[in-house]
Amino acid sequence: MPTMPNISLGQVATLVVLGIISLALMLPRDRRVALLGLLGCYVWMATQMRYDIYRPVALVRLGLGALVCLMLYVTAGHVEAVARTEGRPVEMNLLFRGMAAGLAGLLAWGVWARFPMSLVPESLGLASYWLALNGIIMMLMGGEPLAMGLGLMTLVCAFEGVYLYGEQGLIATALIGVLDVAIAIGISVLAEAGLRERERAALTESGSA
Amino acid sequence: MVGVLLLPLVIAVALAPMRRWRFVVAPLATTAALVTGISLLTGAVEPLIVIGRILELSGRQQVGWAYCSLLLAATLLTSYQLPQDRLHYTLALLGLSALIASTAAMSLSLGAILLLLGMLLCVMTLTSEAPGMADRGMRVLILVVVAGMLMLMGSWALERSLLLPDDPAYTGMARMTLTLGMLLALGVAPGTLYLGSAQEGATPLAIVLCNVLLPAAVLMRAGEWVAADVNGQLLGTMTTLGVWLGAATVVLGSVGALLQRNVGKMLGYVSVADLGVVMLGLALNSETGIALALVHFGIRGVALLLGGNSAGVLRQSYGYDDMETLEGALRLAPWSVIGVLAAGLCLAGMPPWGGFVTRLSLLAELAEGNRWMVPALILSSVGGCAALVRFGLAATARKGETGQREPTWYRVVALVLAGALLLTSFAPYWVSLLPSTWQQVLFEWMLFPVS
Repeated sequence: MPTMPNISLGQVATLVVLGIISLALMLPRDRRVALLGLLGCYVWMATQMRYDIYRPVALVRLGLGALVCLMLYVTAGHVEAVARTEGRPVEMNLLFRGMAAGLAGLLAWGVWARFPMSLVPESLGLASYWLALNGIIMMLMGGEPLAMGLGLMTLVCAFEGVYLYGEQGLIATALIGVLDVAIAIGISVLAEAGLRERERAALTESGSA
Repeated sequence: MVGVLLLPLVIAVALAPMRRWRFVVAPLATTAALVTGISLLTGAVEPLIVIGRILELSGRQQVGWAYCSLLLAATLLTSYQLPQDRLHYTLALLGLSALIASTAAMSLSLGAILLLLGMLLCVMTLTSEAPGMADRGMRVLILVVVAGMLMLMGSWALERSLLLPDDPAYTGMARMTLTLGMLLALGVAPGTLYLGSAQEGATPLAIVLCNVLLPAAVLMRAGEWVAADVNGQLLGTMTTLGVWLGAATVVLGSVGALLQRNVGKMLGYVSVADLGVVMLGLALNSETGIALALVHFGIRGVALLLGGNSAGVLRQSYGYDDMETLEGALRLAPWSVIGVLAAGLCLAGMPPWGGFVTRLSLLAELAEGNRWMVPALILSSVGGCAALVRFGLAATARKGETGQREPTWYRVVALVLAGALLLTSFAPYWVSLLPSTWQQVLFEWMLFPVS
């Protein structure tokens, strides 16, 4: 007969935090609110970093995460402004998104139990799987560039959490930060291009009407 | 090395605030790429040490990047009159600098990070006004970032496997992640679908950056990984998967081209399919196969420059580049139509263009080990040709003059580039007239060390 796995108090805390981040990322339709989830990812990952000598690096990473979220917040503001006037693109309803978040969590738990990452602490391994799966599901469900971009940033954040635990060179860490900013710029550029496209389409429709 | 890396970087940063003045930005960017190319070609580049990390290019890598820099300079120069976001000049030079640095980095992890950065900068130039471009651009961005993460993880594992040679986990992880990352970054099947369609409305600069500089950097980096892998298992995995996925890319790209009614997308699919041919040549892992693949890669660059410019001029003259809009385009833009046809046929491996000679030789080489694959690959190139024939028929259709006449300067550009593609077909040994360094690269191993 199958039994419930033994879950420690630490794991429960990790699960609660990850669940909150996951729901914050996937439930809100307003991208500005979803960005709080991304900020939560950066905060969680910063707490998990191992810096024996250069502890302030974790703080710098956190600041960089905040900068990335700020950049995306500006774009999200534009997206929401257009959504208010022209309506949102078709996307899954709240129940479906909630179920997808739950499924991502269950799947992450299963994958982590089957293939635990031996090189990183348990909580970091679980968080990475969880957030990476969240990111992948968000990319698959995203109906417009910014939603897909948020999924991509979540996936990147999960990957970097594991990578920077193993690779602690300062140059590598700095360049990874530059990469984060470059990806965020790419997402912003494409999201703004998507908005211009919608505006052109609306103009064409009104012209033909 | 300082000059080679810093010149494009400094000029790129300087160009950003000046981007309103195209007459300043374009010549400066061209000069920077040209000087970088010439300095790479003419002299030995001294190694550079930055905070304990060594940046050094081998002679063959130097020549490879000289070719890419000169091609970029030619693209910047010939696309001067075409409309494009002037921030792309900055992105192009930043991308060039990052990609050269990624090849030069001795540290595997650092090289992978710089490669991902360079790839991101290249992909950012793919934005255009074409409908649905934002979604397609995002998919390409996702593809590139995932490929970069795999390569980053693989490089780290490869470094660890050198420190702990008895632990098979690191070797296995490096083998799989590096191979998958490389193949994804090159846009092999099924990524072909994203890369091909993302080139609708792309500028010549974006086409050259994403189809020539980006794959060149990935392949040169792959050479470094293979050289670092002491077990030699990585090369085996890369060549095995390379043959299968290279063939799948050729077939998928050709079918994709057949379905297109937009010139930019059609050329995009044909070019990605052609990259599959390059991969097949490299995956053969024979001296002749690799040399042929490199020559083919070089010819492909010129064809993409011609195709990108021609599609750009057609868009400028007619407003858009789908086949309905371009009906009767031969009257007002004859050289652009010829340019698209010449470039497309060269990429599809049709005579009498240069791509035919190298593709045929590669297929002959491939037939020795994978006889069944050759007819399938020849048949698949029919897809690209059929799409080009359809474009040719549309361009020669009788229709009133609806667009603008193509600019006079473009006739010279199309004539020179199409002539070069013909020359490589009728006189394939023309390369022997070039300096000996070129011969060394063209006819010897560049990517993989000679056993």
